[in-house]
Amino acid sequence: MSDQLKSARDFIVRSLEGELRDRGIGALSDDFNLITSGLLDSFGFLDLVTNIEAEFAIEIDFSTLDPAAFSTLGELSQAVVRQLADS
Amino acid sequence: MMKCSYNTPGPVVHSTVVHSTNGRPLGLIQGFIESSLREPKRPALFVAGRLVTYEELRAAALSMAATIKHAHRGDGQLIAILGSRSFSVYAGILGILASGRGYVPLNPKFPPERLARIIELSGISSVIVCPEAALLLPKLKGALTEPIQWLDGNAVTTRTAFDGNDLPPAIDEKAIAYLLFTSGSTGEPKGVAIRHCNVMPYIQWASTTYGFHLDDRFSQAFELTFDVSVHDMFVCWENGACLYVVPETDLSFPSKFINENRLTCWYSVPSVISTMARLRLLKPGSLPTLRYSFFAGEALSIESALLWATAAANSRIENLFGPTEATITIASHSWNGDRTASSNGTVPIGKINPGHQYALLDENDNEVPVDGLGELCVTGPQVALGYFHAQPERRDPFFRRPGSEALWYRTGDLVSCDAQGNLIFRGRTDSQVKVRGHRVELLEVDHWLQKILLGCQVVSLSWPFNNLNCDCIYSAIETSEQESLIRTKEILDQCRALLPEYMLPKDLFFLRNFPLNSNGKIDRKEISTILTRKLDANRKTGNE
Repeated sequence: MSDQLKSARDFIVRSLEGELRDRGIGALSDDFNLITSGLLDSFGFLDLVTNIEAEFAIEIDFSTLDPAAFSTLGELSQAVVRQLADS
Repeated sequence: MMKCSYNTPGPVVHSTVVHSTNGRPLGLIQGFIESSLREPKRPALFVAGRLVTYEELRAAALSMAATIKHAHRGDGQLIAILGSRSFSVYAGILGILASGRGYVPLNPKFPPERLARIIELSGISSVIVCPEAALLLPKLKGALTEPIQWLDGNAVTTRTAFDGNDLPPAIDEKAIAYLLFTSGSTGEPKGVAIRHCNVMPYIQWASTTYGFHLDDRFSQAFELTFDVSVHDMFVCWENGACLYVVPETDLSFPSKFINENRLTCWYSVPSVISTMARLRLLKPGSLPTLRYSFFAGEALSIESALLWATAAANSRIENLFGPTEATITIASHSWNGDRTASSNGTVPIGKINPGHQYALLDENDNEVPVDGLGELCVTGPQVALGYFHAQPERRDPFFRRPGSEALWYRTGDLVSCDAQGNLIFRGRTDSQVKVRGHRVELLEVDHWLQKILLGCQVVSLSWPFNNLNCDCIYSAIETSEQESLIRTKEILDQCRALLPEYMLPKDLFFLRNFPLNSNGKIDRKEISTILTRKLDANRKTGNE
């Protein structure tokens, strides 16, 4: 895993600390879907995106991504890395 | 026996009874059966990646109806179905209707205790369980006190050659087509039974008004427990079109699904617009296939309508409005892009459906002046006959006006009428709110929290405060206990076992004493000010 990918992934997991603790969820796999798992609703997901964009100073273009994928931990982390490469 | 006719003056545009090819009234399923006879090979349903023809779906529905006929004990006129976004659930609903009975949708996402209560309240003895919900069964069985007959919803899809005699039985138009439960302020879910004679005028109205055709592709985004799903399914099938079931993963951000499947008719709650816009999914011209975009369930702001119009450039935007008690929606407005369509920044809810009447009444049931603000009350064929087995209420929302036999329904919505005769939604008379389109009685949330907290005073508020639409609920609790000793998580976990996700408070705030107003009543406005301050403080600490 690249450093960028790791830092993106770590940031997301850290942002969700409270929610994960509340539900007693431990380690997350890359295909863990943040929305369909019930961890976040769509508003919670938007809050997370706002935090990510502020942290990495990027604007993620979701229009090219598959919604079934971009709400998974792995794909969302990848999207951050791709956007960092483009900007 | 209650009557299902109304002394409503004015034209009733559509007959409530439509006869099938052999003259039998089939009620809600009639349009589907007729389309399946006319165009058996055309697609009726796209679900979980699979396209299903009318012929195939009808065969599955009739096979389910046969299962019900053989297995269903007793003479219960209602059958529940537990399932979501699967072939089985649609075949099951059609199967229940084809057996001449009404359906009660059960949402697998709801806590088992709530589902059990709904089963008990509706008095049903049989539940169809779709494969996707089978895992819930042990918990649901554990929550029930009465034995229930469970029917396997694994729909059969044998392509049996169609036999012209193989039609559903004729139905009594006064029979219940579906029974839905909404949030009730007493803590008990409230049943709304809609009869065939309530819903048929709606299906006819929507079909005539919008002129759908065989090539239309309808979205099915709404949960089946939300009555706009009845529009999705039955207006679609009435017109021989194809219903595209939006997968769970695409619900919040459906642009890819819309484009890949070239949908022509979109229907959802307006909050989808703001979430999509936030992810930059509404670029100009990015939803070119849509010719109709319908919104209902909460206020549609002009700002949202503009965002959608930019993306869905070839689409008309229709704002629809109405409570479950008046069948799906009872008012509509075709928005022409006017940024000044109303004075409060929302798209008007427009005009009441033909064949119905409305009045804007004050608290003494007198009509308000022409430009005044009043509670929207409606009467006509779409208005239900009252709540299902309900306890009498202090002020029954179903009522008769002096000198008239017609049954009216108080919507609880504060509405005004503009110079063009368009109705504008301005708020509520009570503490009912819409959380992302879901109807929630804040008093129901208070009720359960009070139960968990052994009688503490509770005030739940929707956030953002004082908005027509809201994202979530926060609850304030009056307690003298030390805040450090209170286990918020445990309280919320107990709520989670009782309430659907959208009714759960996002957080709890503990106040030593609730502020009172000059009348000695709890000052909700002051509580919302205190909560705003606490939320701001939390946000600041969160960002550091």
